[in-house]
Amino acid sequence: MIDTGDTAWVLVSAALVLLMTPALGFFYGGFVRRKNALSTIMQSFIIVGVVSVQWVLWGYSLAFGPDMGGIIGSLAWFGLKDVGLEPNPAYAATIPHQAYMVFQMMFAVITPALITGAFAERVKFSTMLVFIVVWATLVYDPVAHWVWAADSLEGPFGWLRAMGALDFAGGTVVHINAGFAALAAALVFRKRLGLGQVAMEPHNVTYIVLGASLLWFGWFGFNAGSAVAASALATSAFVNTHVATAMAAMTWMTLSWFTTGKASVIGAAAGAVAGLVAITPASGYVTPMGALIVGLGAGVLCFLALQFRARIWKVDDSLDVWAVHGIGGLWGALATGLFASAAINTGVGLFYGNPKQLGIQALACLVVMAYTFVGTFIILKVLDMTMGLAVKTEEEEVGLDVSQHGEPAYTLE
Amino acid sequence: MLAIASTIAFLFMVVAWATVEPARSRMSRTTSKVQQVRTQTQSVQS
Repeated sequence: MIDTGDTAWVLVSAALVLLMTPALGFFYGGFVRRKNALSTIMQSFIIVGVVSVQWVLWGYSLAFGPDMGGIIGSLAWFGLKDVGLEPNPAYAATIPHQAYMVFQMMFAVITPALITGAFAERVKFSTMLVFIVVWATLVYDPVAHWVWAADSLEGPFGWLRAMGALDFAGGTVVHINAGFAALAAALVFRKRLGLGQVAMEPHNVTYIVLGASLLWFGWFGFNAGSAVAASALATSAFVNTHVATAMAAMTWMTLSWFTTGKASVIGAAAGAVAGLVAITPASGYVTPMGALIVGLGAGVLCFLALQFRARIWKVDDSLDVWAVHGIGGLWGALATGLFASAAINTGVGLFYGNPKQLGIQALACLVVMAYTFVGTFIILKVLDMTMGLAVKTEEEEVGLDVSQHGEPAYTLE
Repeated sequence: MLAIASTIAFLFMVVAWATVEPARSRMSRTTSKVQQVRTQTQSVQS
């Protein structure tokens, strides 16, 4: 039975999550040098098109279609066959199945877009496009199936879901997945020319704050929309999303103030995103006080991970996708196993008397980290041997805006 | 039928992305080689 309120909320949520990908483009676009601003925005923008088409043709069927051993969906829903306007009770009993499909499409879109931050300012555009199609098919779709798929309320389920792993809105499927794929990408790609020798300052910090603000706004659809109903649970996820983000933004800003002597605007924006990432898997399971601790932990852990990456490890994960999404997602998934409360939802965590949940969460994290890292590494190695990953030296010096698109971001000096 | 047609169109574009760069590079290399030969010929003639 279709509920108009639930349907309206999920459709609006899908639109909110759609907004997050161009917002990510602005967030990333602000971080890069001006000669790469437009290409960075373009990468996020065109991924909306590429993955949306992949999703309706075969992606949704692989991720959410009839289960094959808990590993992958069959191609029975190829081209949205049997994905109609009647509800599918296994996923959402009160909204059209296509509403659920398009809501999930936006998750499939933003996840590979997150990875582009790892190879910013040097990726060959054509290779990136092919990588996105292959990665969405071979990495995103199976992982989404493991964590979220169900044939009915009684199962069979994706194997991580059957094991009891909790992921309300994508801590493992979206953020650990993208974060550890980004780490693999940063290791396979060559470093940017002149890294460590020439300044690579963000060209427009206002874009970074604009992008982070739009991400914060869109994330209400991401998390509260994952209740797939205009319900009390959606309200809980909404509140948790906001308070965790607020706490993380303050925490990162304060840490940067201590370490550099100035209250960093970029730090506040990055902290907000870290908080949004961390609360994602927990948003429908924890209380608002639990969410505050998740936000605090995200601010501290992601800040430390970034310092470690930049100062000690020196991997050229250009826009710190691993530190923010990989570590933030990992913390959020584990924190769900700590703070999940029966007062909110079905999951119960360690601090509410169920230590087993933390072990399940840890196993799910390890599996997704390993699969996405190895899978991404192999995909990129094959593309390196066939198409090449990075642009030529002279193209990187000119900048990707002109060398890849023939259009500079700014015409005024 | 529509899904298959759309899939073919999509995969055609993916293949085009994968091949357009090498093809353009080959064309570019060929063009520059031609120009190099022309320049050498002109300098020999002069």
